[in-house]
Amino acid sequence: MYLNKDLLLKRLQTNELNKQLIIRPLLSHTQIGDLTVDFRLGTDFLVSTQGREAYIDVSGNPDKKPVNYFFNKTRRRLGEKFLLHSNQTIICTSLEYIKMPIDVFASLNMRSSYSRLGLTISSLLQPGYSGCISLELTNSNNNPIQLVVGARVFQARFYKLDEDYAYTYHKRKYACQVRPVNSRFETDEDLGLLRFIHQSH
Amino acid sequence: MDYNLVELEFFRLFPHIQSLKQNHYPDKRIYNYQRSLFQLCVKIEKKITQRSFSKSGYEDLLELSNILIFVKTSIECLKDSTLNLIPFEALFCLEAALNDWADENHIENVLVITHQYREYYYESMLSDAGPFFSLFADKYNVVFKQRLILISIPKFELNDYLSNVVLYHELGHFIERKYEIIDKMFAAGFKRLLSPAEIKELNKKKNHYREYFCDLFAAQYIMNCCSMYLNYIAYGYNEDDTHPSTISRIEVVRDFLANSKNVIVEELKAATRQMTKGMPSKTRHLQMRVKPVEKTDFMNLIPCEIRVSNPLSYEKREPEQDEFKKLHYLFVMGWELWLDKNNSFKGYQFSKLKIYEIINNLIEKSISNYIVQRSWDMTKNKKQNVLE
Repeated sequence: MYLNKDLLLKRLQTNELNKQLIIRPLLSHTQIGDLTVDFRLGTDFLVSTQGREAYIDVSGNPDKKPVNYFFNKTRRRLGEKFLLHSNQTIICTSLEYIKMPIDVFASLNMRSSYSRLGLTISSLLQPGYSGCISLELTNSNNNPIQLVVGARVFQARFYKLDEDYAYTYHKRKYACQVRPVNSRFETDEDLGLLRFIHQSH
Repeated sequence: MDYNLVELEFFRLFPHIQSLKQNHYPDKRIYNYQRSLFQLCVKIEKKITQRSFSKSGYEDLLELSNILIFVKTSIECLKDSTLNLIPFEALFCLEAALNDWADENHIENVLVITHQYREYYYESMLSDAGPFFSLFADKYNVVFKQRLILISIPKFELNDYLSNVVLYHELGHFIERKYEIIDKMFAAGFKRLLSPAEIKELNKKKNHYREYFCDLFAAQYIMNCCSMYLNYIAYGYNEDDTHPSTISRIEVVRDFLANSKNVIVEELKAATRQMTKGMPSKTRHLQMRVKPVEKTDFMNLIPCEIRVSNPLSYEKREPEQDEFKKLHYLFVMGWELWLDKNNSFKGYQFSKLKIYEIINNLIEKSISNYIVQRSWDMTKNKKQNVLE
């Protein structure tokens, strides 16, 4: 079931901890739309850069350069600009910190004004998730795009589940993040197993 | 002193001055300082090109050489103090503390955090450089309206808000020097000439009192957090010529916080009251400047919401405002949660490493949300006033 504006407002106002939707800071109530909530571009960025390594090895091989090597950190203040070059990938976050109710998940997409420029995301927020929302943005336009920190760039649609789901009761890589975090693929246990299978051939 | 070597030093520094222009700083006042520094260097370059210094005597060359030391320290400080490299959330809280002790002097004291010394350290050179600034104005017609208060932070502890409590202690060194609290306190007690041994002992005592003062200064804002950190980095440390023993420092802070009788605390409180007498603010006493915040938000994995009911009061940024007291308390809360034997996060499947990360993240986001909300409300108010 979709959560419409009335239901979203009820979730924002309730004191029932597990059912509460928390968004901090919510700079303007106009961010709550009829069916969606707008989120703003945060202040911190991880920008992909080219170095001496020819490629990012996602096999979990400990001898290879870690993924951090391929990204540089940069910060901006509210209202500052960020230039996203063509075909460049950046990891950033929402300005807002969110805590999801344990019976609601959300799907994310760019606001249409931004998707028309060639910026796309497609991601889910799990029930019970706490933290700033991670955004992996790639500019597929032929021209660089200048973004403004604090601008409403993406939106979330919220869906009610029939059952509760407790995100933080499981081990989580990205819980409570406030800055963009690089991929932690190396902690996937399957990769170790697959490497072992490969070595035993 | 060889003129060519002084010239060499200048031309070594000059490209670095020019490259500072590409920097982005967290405070626009730093840009003004940078501009003044650039103007000064352009004027020195002009003099060098005209060979004005080539026939100068030893005194003039020594003066130029000292100016270049000042320029070099400024460059080193500015190159590290960019938005990308320093935690502006911690800086914001420190500035609020600095503001509690500001005077009506027209000079702007600007806090700058660098990684220069690889440890927590207050470098007094730039803030104590009064005679230099007079020289720049008289001889080069360049006026620096800002003084940089340079505090160094270890690079790997940038986002470690538990360790960053030491920044408050380092700010205490600036305040102590600004009001010359310890020098004046001891000057009052001696009317006769001292022997070399007595001078040595006196200097040791003054150094110890400086450290006690900074510990108390920090305790006003972050209670006993510095003591906890100190008890780890300087555990069992005995006194030397520069620092008192760790045990005595912890005791002094403990007695200050508990309002228990302690001679050192009483002496420092009285001296601070005395040395800052007549200053515009009535609040320049060593006193508690924190206001507790409920832990429940952090325990529920959300940042604290610190706001004032009337956004107009943001503008004032007066000492004693509750929201600043709450911001300082976030550091204390971080320590309390970290040391909580009952594990405040026991309902979750988090490793201790993850808890460390969460506490730091929640402190940072609570401060950063306050800064964002403040900036949003202030700008909105201004815009509304213009439209009306």
